[in-house]
Amino acid sequence: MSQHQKFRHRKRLQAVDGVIAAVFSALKQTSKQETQSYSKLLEKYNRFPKEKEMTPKNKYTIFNRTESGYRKSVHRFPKWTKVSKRVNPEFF
Amino acid sequence: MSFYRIQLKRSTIALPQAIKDTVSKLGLGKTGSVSYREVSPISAGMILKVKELVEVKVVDQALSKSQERALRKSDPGFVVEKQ
Repeated sequence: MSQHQKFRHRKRLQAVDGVIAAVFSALKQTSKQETQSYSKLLEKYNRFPKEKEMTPKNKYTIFNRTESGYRKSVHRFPKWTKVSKRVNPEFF
Repeated sequence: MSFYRIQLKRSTIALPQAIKDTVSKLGLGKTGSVSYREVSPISAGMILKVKELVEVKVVDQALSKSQERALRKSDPGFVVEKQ
């Protein structure tokens, strides 16, 4: 991937982070005691790393079992700009 | 009461039917269209399902379609005093 492709990719990742943050901040404010009603959602998105926390390897490449080295560039992944695949299999 | 102001930024063309259905059930049509949803775990889950396609702001009041349109209107540069 080119530098500029990576830059735009990072901006998209950050935009998704912004959406997640906005959604949860509003939820927390409205239902202060009832965290149980969205505990599953919270749990799911606690495991979803932010752009800042991701390693470059995870940002720009994606797990693929048929590829040599088990990794391929993220821009080879179908609909890569509209799909979030940030968590890869452990040890890969 | 607060609302999510959801704007569709990316098109749903060639995306899975489940994503398209979620977007339409959020009240969104073409790209750029805006809808308001009350803040609740249900609407939050729907938004998060399509998080790559939308922009979300949290607002206190939901605006109607005509109010939204009025916000987008440019300043004509004059005021009509009498007609």
